[in-house]
Amino acid sequence: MFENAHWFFPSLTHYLVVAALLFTLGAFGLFVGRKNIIVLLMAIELILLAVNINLVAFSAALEDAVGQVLVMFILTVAAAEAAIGLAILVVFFRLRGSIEVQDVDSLKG
Amino acid sequence: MSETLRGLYLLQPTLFIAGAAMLLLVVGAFSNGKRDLRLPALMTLLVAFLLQILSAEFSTPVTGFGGLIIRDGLSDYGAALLLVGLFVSLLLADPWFRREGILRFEWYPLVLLSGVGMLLLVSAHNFMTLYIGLELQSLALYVLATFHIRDLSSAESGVKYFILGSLASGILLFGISLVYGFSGTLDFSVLAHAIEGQEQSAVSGLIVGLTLVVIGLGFKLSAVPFHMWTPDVYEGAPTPVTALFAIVPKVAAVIILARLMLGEGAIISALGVDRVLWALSFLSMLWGALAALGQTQIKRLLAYSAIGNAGYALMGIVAGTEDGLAAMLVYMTIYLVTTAGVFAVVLSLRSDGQAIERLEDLKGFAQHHPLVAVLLGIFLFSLAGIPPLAGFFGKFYVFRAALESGEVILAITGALTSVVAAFYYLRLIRLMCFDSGSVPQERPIPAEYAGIMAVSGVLVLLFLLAPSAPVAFAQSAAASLFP
Repeated sequence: MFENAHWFFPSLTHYLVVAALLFTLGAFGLFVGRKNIIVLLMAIELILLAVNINLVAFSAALEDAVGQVLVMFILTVAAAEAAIGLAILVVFFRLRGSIEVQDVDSLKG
Repeated sequence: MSETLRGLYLLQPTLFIAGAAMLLLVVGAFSNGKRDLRLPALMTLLVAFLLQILSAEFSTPVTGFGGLIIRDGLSDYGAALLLVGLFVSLLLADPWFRREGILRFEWYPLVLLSGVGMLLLVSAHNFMTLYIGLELQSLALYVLATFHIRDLSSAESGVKYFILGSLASGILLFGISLVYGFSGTLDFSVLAHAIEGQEQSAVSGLIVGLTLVVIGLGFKLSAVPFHMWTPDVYEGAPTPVTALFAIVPKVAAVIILARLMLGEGAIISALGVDRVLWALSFLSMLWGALAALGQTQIKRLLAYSAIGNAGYALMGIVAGTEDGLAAMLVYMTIYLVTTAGVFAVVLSLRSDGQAIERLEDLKGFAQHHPLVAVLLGIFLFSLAGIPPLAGFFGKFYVFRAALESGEVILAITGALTSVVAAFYYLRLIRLMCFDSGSVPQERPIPAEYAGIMAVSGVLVLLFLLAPSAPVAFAQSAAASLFP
């Protein structure tokens, strides 16, 4: 019953478009949505997830496992990165009493 | 020897440091931070240096772990330079941290772990190793920037470095994913072969991917226009951490860029990606010199100096020849020695128990500490590229390589920005020698600083007597990419 439904199954291009959109959203969040540092951390996670979608899609299309191995590494590093980012944020919050982006301003420039 | 064993053998200095760092972490934690870890950390670096030298494979490149890593002249040269830089950074940090009372045992494992990342980076032969090395280095450096947890500017520099550094990693990764998708491989040499037989559409995808990779590495190298974190992080981080940032990670970043661009017959350069590097080099030299003119903080000035120097080093890679690569390696070596000297002086500057951070506090410095002032003068003249000091030779080799490969505009820009840079270095010297100030300098200077100043001073002064020895080393290292 599904023989005429090839259009329904996403192709490589669809995955790449989604990944590119997520990447743009992440970059956009970093540069435009400048309100709260937590939002910036979320934007960074979005960028990393976009990369992961890209890699898995390519890996499946190329029938090559290397891309998925790299995804495992990226997931691990992203977890470590989030932990370190939050730790730095806690240190900053203790001293400044705020995590608004506009309050990150004691160093000029 | 099996593949795994050979990989372990090739990576032994790196693995040794990784093991030692984790051991130090455990020892520090179980002794509640009371045990002094300085000597073990220094010994670790010394042993790793010996392991690296003794297992050096200068004749032919050897790959390990199925091509994930490579040991050749370039990686050995880079690793030796990095280990010396880390050693000097540890020596520089200790007296300053102790006087400020903020030394904690985590300092040593963190520096060693960032060193593991950098060593992995210089021997990367696959985008996966490149990414892991870069992240290992960066994650440790983010924490180090925030090392003074009671100081707002240190915390803020950590936040800025973390956000912008993570963005750079994200861009780099996106580039890697495109390279993987359009070539089907992450291995540098397989990639080079894949490029040769590609049709046009796939090649343009590769160019976009590789450009993003270069941009990501440019971030870490603080090349303009991706330098915006540098002045803030240099200013906000504790000064020994700034010294570490200025001395070591740049070496790793330029070496992996050189391997990526010039390895395997410079196929990636030939795609046109070297024009991106050209722009980074041009803008870094220009902005590094111009923006430094208005600075009032010592560390901000040194940040712009580092940005400019990244531009000169990139010029050697843009030249694209064996001579260019050798010139870049000589330049980085001289830069490392000179910067270590400058930071030894800067870290020793104190008055009334406070570290001096503003340029105007240096007024009359020459009257109080003539010898140190003369040494600082020598380092600054060397950074400005005034003959017959070492810095002049560094710039001369890079400019010559650029001219020989037809990069005339870049070489002329380099010469002109050197003149502008000389102006602000000379202004600093005028401030020290001819303006009178009332700030007394604290004595005595710790032995570590005196020693590093003396060694750097001698090397910078006497480079002219035997320039052929370091150049020959650099050339044999560069030859490994140009068989």
